[in-house]
Amino acid sequence: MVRLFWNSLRSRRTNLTGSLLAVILSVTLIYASIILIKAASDGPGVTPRLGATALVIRGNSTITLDQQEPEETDLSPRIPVALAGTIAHIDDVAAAIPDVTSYAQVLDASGTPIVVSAEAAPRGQPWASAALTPFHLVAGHAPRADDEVVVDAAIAEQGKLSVGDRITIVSSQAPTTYQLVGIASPPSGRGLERQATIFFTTPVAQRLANATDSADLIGVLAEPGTDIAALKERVTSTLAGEHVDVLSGPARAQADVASGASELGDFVAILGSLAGFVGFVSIFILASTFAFSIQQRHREIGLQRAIGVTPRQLWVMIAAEAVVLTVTGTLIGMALGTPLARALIWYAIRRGLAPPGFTAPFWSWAVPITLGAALGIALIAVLGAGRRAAKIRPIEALREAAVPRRFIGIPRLLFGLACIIGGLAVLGIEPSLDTDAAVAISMLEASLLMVGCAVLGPLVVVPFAWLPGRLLSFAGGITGELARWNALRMPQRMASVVAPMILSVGFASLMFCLLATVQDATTQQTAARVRADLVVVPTNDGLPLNVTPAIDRIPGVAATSVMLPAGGLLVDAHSGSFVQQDVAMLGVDPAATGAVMRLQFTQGGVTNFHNGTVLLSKQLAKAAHLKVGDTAIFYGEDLRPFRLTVAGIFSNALGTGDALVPRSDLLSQVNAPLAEAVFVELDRDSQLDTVQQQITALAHDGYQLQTVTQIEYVAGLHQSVVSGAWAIYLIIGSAAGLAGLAMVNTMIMSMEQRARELILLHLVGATTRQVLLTIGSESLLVLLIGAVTGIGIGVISVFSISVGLLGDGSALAIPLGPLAAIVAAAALLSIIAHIVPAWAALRTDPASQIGMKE
Amino acid sequence: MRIRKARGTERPIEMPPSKPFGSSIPAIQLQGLSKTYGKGKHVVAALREINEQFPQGSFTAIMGPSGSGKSTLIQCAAGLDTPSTGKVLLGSIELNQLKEPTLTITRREQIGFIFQAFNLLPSLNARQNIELPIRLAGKAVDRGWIERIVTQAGIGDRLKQRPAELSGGQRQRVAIARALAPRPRVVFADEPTGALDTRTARAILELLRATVDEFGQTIIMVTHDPVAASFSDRVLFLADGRIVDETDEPTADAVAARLTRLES
Repeated sequence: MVRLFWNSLRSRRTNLTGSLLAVILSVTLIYASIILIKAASDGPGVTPRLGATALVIRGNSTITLDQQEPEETDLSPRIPVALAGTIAHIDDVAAAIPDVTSYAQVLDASGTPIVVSAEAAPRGQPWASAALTPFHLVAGHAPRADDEVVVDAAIAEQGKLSVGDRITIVSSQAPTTYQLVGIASPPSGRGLERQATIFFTTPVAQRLANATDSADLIGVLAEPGTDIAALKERVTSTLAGEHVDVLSGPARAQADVASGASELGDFVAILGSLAGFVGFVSIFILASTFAFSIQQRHREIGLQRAIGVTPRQLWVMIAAEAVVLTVTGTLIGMALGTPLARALIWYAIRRGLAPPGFTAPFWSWAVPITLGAALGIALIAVLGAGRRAAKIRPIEALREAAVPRRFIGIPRLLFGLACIIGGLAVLGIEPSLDTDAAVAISMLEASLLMVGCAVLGPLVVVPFAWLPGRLLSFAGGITGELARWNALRMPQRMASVVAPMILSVGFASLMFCLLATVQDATTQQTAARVRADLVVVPTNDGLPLNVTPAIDRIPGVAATSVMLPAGGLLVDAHSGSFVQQDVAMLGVDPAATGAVMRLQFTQGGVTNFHNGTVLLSKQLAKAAHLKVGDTAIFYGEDLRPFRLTVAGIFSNALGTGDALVPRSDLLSQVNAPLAEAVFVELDRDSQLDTVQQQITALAHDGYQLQTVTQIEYVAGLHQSVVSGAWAIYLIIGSAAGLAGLAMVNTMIMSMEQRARELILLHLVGATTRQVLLTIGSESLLVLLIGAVTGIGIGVISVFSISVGLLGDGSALAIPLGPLAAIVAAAALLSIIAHIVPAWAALRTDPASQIGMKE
Repeated sequence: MRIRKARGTERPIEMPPSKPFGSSIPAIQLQGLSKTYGKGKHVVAALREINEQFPQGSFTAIMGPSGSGKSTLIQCAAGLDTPSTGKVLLGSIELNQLKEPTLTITRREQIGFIFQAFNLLPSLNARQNIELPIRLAGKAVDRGWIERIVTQAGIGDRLKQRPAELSGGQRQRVAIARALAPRPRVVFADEPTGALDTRTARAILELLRATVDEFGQTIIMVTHDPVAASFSDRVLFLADGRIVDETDEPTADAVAARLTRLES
């Protein structure tokens, strides 16, 4: 039995190579994801900025609504400064230091912001926080007056600053001149890797952070030799009634804004999706590859059955084959997964998703998990193929021609129809709000439809072979006609090759259409909504809110509205729990909103929009079951509730956030009051150029801004809109690549199986050229079917979510360039994968192939 | 018009004129034909210095024990394989000197081939299989001629069926019809009845005989079956790559006897 098994494997070396490559690719992606997820979810583990602390106290991020379970949120509220006083009295506490962080950046002599490095975020903190790292003065002294600052040595070196200089600092306040009185550095170097630090006096730092008597965290320094665990217990019990977390050890990194912990969370989410999606696609691909190889070995299996192999032994042999394949592929895949993980880390650090120096150490559990996952995938994949093989009767070995089975088996038909119906049902789901949900829904829908079409293969092939195929035979003469009959009369054969093409072209086109549609939809809605003549945008992190009065004073300016972004939560009016985790709010000036924005209202309007009211997007209002006149309960970044009456519901919300809140209502809730734009509406008779010049002149005061027209603003938005674009490329792109590999492999296997038929064709009188033309025509037919179906499904999936995203009409964008490139690539692969093996088959000795020595 | 009764039957058959090849030139000539496989120490000589002529309108059977080289012989003769030395003449064309695609083009117009099995393309129906060589040559199909062969072969009612729907015998008939359709100079058959039962085999052989008698077809057939050989005009016996014997009056018994002698 074992000998039989090995011989069978040896004779199908080329066939197995393709399956092996598919396993290797899947495992590489899955293994890399697993080790990265483990490393990332462990957190950065180091806290560069809070190294000197024993404990870190910060606000607890759960929140309990009326009569509900505590809900976990992403927001960490500030804590009262007074707690520091309480903690300081606990035994063994050397100091309890409240800390706030805000945006602050030094301008050099020419007025340009000093940038230490791409990863180092410019931040300002109170000098008292220096002890948390600890920073030591290397020159000068600590700031004593409110106009004195200390900078870290990295900033000083980059900007060529020395003690005694007068420097301008931009922040959430107006640009101000300060006296540089000292330079400090942490133990690790000239400055922290992820932060360029400026130290202010405590009152100034609090003002910049919009925090009068609250703090982001309290760092606790302990007396030397203290038992940290015991101290933690004491502190925790003292603060029992407060809504805080007490963190020690590596957990402190979660509170450290310079550790990169929250970005790693995003990274984990993306990798999780990658692993899951790749796993799902691999099941399908391996299933069809195994099924195909069983179909190829039809006679061989019949022969084995004829000599006495029982169905059960056959099962075992097939499962054993799958296991051998998987184990080999997994070992190779894991070896390749490590460099891939390193490449992903490099990319993540570049994009700021991971802190510099982040590594993924070898995690021993990753090996059995990956192996288990791979084996699970393979055995599920082999189930269907095994069943079919076990049903082959010995008599099949003796039949000359493959007796055509039923056109398509009943289970397969039902499964395919179920997938299609499922996919169409998803069409009906309106995605709630954010693009992420929309993307996920479109991926689900596309996957269902594609799998359905792939499974219903022959039913898809026949209509194409019948009608467009007729054109082929008309144009192509006898070779085209042969191609058509091959497709029409034996559609199962072509279906095996078409299925992976549908997947690869489908996923690839889904990817591009999705991104283009979301980008276009956002841009369109923004363009329609923004009617301001000019938009003032920051060139740094954001503009201080008090730039508006300066702009207002310029003659010719009719109205300005500041756009202040904030995150928060909204309570669902029906259920009493939160609608979803992140509501994007935008603080605006109610009086000017009507002038600078053109909102399409479905209910209410700007007339009643004033302090104490809110404008909601249609999707958010629907999700929260709110209508005009209702009271909306929001929770801001500080996790404190504030109530606003709904004044209007509008529909063109993409790019602007889900809720427009009067700025003054929002201000107390926002930790970093930095405007992302100021919309300016001009008087009818004023000159655009003049006003633009005067606004730009504000830069002399230190404001980091530039003025753009409405068109330029919209164009600039287009680029940045889909923040997770790289993730979409990675995830869907991997699936497309996997399917592409399977496509090429199946084509080659299919051709090898048909070697005898091709040689017969040659012997009957077709020249090599004619045989290759026939095969070439078939490959074009495959391309036609695969491309039309794949692109069609991609477009349908994106269309359905585009309707939901926009609320009315659709901004479906079909990027012709990338789609043409996809089709061209598929055509190239298809033609090569058909013709090269066909040509190779023709070069073999005809006599041995055709069975004269049978 | 020649009338010859099929040996062993009394069925007179309709007679269309035979194809006007110059009947003085033999259909196939083999001159000094040798074929060796392998190199160095492992050289195997499949054919040794074969010299033979196959006249137009003849039905020749080639027999011999396994390993005698009979398959190699007709492969070389049909242009499917190139000899190591020697010449193969199809009429006056030197077949072994032709290169692709001329070789294929010549073969499809002048040589028909019937295999033991797996003759037909599975995705084409009977008629399409039959017409295929002609259509590959880009020539027009002579409907009348096809009708005739198809009737003669007895598959007129099966033309729209695919090979999978036909019995073994019916498939062989289709294969024969296909071989005849382009009116080739010579038809080679490699064990055409090997996979058939006696009654069907007989019908096939009668059909082959009829094509020789009525259409003037030249047939060269490899077989191991003495009964099949009895339908031919002449039997050549092959052993160890050489023609060692021949007979002009092949009856089943005589042929069987000679075969046994050869094999011992």
